[in-house]
Amino acid sequence: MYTDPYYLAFIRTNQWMHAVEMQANRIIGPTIDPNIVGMIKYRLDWNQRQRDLDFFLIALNRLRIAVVSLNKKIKDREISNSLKEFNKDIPDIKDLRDIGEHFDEYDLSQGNLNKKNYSPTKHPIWVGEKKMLV
Amino acid sequence: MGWGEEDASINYHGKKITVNKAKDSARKLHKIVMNVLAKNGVKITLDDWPLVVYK
Repeated sequence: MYTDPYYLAFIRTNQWMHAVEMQANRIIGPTIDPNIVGMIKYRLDWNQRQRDLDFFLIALNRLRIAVVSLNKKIKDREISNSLKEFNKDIPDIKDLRDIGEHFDEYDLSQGNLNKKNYSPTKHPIWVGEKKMLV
Repeated sequence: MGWGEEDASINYHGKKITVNKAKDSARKLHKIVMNVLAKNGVKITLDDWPLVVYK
């Protein structure tokens, strides 16, 4: 068990940054075996992208949590500013994670966002500007 | 724009994220934390935990 907050922060931020890189590269990279074609390819491709996106969101959020946790202890201004910028760049990260993590509640329209009169499942998933996945 | 093209923007149930932009923001945050830790005497070592290689 690591007790030094600095060393723990080093480990945690590195772990989750690794995961962010890995998932981002999986999302934007090629997916399945090119020999698989047709609807099966479409479904497999769709599922892989979706799950990679889920894990990308988890990794991003865990990176954020690791840094927030570190800065509660060391209160560094540079890190505070950087966190603000991170949150500004990805404003929907908390909601995206919530939708993914609590899919069971959202399936029943009982998620946190549903309680705020926002119904995620009424909105389609779009990739880019044209291609609609669901 | 679609998967693998340009910045891979996604509208996920009405909430948006752009994969490359999010990755860049994460890298920026990670770099600053590593710098702050190094300034505070944390030994940034490749022995225990390899530093992230940005690809």
